[in-house]
Amino acid sequence: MIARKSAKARSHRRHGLPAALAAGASICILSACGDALNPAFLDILGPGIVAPRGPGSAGHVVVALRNDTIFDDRILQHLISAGLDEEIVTASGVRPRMRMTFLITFVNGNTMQVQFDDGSSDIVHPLASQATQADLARPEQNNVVVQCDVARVDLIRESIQVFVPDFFETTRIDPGDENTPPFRVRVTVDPPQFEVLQIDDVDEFGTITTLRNIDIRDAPAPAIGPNCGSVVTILVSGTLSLPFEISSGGNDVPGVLNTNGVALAASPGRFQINVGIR
Amino acid sequence: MKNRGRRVRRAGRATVVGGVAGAMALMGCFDSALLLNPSFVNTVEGGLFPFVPGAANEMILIRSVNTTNQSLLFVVTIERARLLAEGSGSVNESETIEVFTGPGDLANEAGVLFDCTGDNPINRIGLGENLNRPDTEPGLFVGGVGDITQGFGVPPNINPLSRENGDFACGDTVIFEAFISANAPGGFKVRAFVLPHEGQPERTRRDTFTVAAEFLRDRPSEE
Repeated sequence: MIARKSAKARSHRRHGLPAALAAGASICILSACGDALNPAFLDILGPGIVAPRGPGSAGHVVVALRNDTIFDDRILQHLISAGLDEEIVTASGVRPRMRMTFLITFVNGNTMQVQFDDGSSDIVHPLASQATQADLARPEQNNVVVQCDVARVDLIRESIQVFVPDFFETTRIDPGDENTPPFRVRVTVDPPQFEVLQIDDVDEFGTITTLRNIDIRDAPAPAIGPNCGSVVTILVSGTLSLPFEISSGGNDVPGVLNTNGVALAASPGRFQINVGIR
Repeated sequence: MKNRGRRVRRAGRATVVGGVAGAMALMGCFDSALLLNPSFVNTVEGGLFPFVPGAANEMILIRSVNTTNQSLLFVVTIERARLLAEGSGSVNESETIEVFTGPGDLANEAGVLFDCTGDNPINRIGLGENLNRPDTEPGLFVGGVGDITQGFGVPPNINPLSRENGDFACGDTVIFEAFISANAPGGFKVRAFVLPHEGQPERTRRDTFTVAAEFLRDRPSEE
């Protein structure tokens, strides 16, 4: 009896194990395990046998930027007077070019940096250099889709930039002498370029001491622990505006007197950044 | 002794059966996402979070997946047809973005959503700036750190996907996966997958891509 049982048991084991292996392999092949097999081996089997699903995903978090900023009309008119095609300026959807960098931190500590560029790339002074054009040539990207799970999304404050599309002149007043009345002298001319937006300077009571580009209450905050499947939204609004000053040539151009620190600090405009999770 | 052995085996079997039944109950009769990590549940069962944008959102998701041990920059190009003046036909306009992926888990994948509407569909998707030269045009940069330092370029050696050929449709997810291959030029190879939107659950617990599409498109009008 015991001997028969042993033989029977051995027989079961002998037939059972390979059958189980074959069944397991079949199930594995037909299901998601197709991704684990060597593609060359899959090619031998033929496309009808296995259809890899592709890299699986647990879910996604989307980080999306919407640029709702506008141009001050005075800048656009000045660009048209400088020779920019009016059709470009009056086209729908014209908005200042923004760029900013995000740091995405995942729950396992790994990080990813992504730069977003969004806005019009053809609103620029006609005499801008080739280097400036190259800076604007980077294609627009206003969203990124990453895997779950994300620990936080930070907007790197020093990376928030807006493209100033016009030349900006700083002048000073030369007092002249007994024979010459005071006159304006050009100090610097900044070409069209990206400018970093700065947050207002405040004292210990929160009172603004220097008005810059972003109110401290409108400054970007990190998005902490977005759930899998959620969307981290970054909404940028505001107006790109420049002070105008009489140039050394007597024209009204974007610029400041070198003594006008207030106007210089507030350039190039006022913006708000709102970070949310939906 | 024999009885003890039998009892032990029976207890072991009961434990296993009970454990399996318990797990099945958890997955079937109860909401598994309440107890288990939703990300894990979505990987196994799906239905919690969407994998594709869906036809209604008129978008396409292009994912770049890096399964190597190097940093990779994917050069993703999409092509659309822009209509010329009446009767003059259309011209293909391409748009190229660079997607940087690291070698670490979770940070090794990044995707981008593109508009893909009936009036302005995407016609071709591929790697490399010139979709007509997949065997010579670099589609990957290996070891690069974004724009600061670029590594060496590797052609993707896969033909671009074409909507007209039925490779993809608006609403799908297109995946480019890069992996190490000793036989490939440069040591890296790319393969493409498409997740068609038709095969996906109609409803998921979170409507990620609908929320994203609504946010991106909700731009204030001129008025």
